[in-house]
Amino acid sequence: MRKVFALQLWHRPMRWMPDGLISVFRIALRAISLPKFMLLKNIIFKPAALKSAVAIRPASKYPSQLLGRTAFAYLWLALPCAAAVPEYQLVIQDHLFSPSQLQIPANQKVKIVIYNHDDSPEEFESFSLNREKVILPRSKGVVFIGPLPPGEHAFFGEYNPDTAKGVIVIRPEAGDAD
Amino acid sequence: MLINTVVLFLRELLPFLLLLTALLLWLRPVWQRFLLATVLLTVVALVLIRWLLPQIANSADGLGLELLYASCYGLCCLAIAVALWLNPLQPQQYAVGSILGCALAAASLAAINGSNLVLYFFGYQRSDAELANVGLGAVLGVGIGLSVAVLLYHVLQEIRWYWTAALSWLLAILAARQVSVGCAILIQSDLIPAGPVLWNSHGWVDERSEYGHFLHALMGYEATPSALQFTCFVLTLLLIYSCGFRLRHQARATRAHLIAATTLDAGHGVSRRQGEGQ
Repeated sequence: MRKVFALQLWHRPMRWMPDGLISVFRIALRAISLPKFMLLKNIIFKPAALKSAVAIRPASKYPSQLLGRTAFAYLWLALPCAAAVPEYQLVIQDHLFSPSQLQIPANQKVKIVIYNHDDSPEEFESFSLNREKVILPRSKGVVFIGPLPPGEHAFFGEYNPDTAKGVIVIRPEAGDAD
Repeated sequence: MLINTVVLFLRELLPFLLLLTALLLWLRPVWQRFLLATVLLTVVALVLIRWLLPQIANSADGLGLELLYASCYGLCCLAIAVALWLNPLQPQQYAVGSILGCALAAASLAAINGSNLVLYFFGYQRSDAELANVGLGAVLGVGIGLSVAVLLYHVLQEIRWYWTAALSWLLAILAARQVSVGCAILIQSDLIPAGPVLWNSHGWVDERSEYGHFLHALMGYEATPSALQFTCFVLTLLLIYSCGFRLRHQARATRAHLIAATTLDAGHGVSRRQGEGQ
């Protein structure tokens, strides 16, 4: 039972997680090796199994540490596995967004990666999209939007609102960035 | 530059100042200890964030800051709930922990908003003229924010005479606001599903207007809230309000005590006057 659960977890399509994080996650799983005390039914109904697990594993010496670890693992498992979403790019250079008009398809979730090529930070902000994201100098940030109906949503850089401005146009059909 | 700085400071500071006002009103007898703990925790948090900001921002595929901010918002709400549950003004062993809980709530919000301001202040190389404008804008922003906070403090103080649950509701609204904003951050990072948009109140209150900014600072107002955000807001509101039963009991007891003292005083005055008349 334990092995089957572990295998299912191992081959789960965790596409929403970056590669580095997947590695860390797998190493963490290997370290704890999903023993009996990780199963919720054992934690609730079989405290003896919990005690024995604590006793035989030096790493899980303290119950608080054990429970914390368990909660962490269940939290990760509870997170949804999102399907791959189309990716669009925005670039900030000289306090200007490029392209200033980004076209994305309607009724579809998209990922917008914002690259800041300036030496100063910027904050991507859109009131109508309810999005706000700080991007450090020479760095990138990710914002997901949608699915949304066709329309236009203005965005701006909060630190330079006079120059860093743009609009996201949501088209009825799939389109590429200008 | 000047107007942008004023708006930025006001937007970042107002949520923190509103929470600080509510907590100061609540913890008036021990306000020095509370303020000292808040300032210390805020400074430590800001120094740590400033120091580790590049590493945090680049972790988790560029979503590190979002995870940090969402955690801070969650911590803020949790700390308010714990403090309300324990009630720092009761003479019991939990008082110090509860005051620390309030300080932690204020500091976690200050850390989020303060880190943005620190970035804006120290992330740019400016000329002397620009620096003067930014400084003036910062002073104006802080001044307007403080004015709103002081006004709210006195209004709340008056309202509490007639409606003992006012502070409890305000704390519940502020805690629900933090959860709602934290949810919005997780939604934009695609870590939780948003659900459908419930309504569009853009025509009534624009988020960019003064009222919109104030309502966003107070209750996380958004013209187009998602189902998950709204659900989290309502659930947190009810949960935190129910945690504040001791606070309401204490407010009622204080009012009853003051009314009794005033009546007694008036009674003594009457009897004294009668005595003088005879």
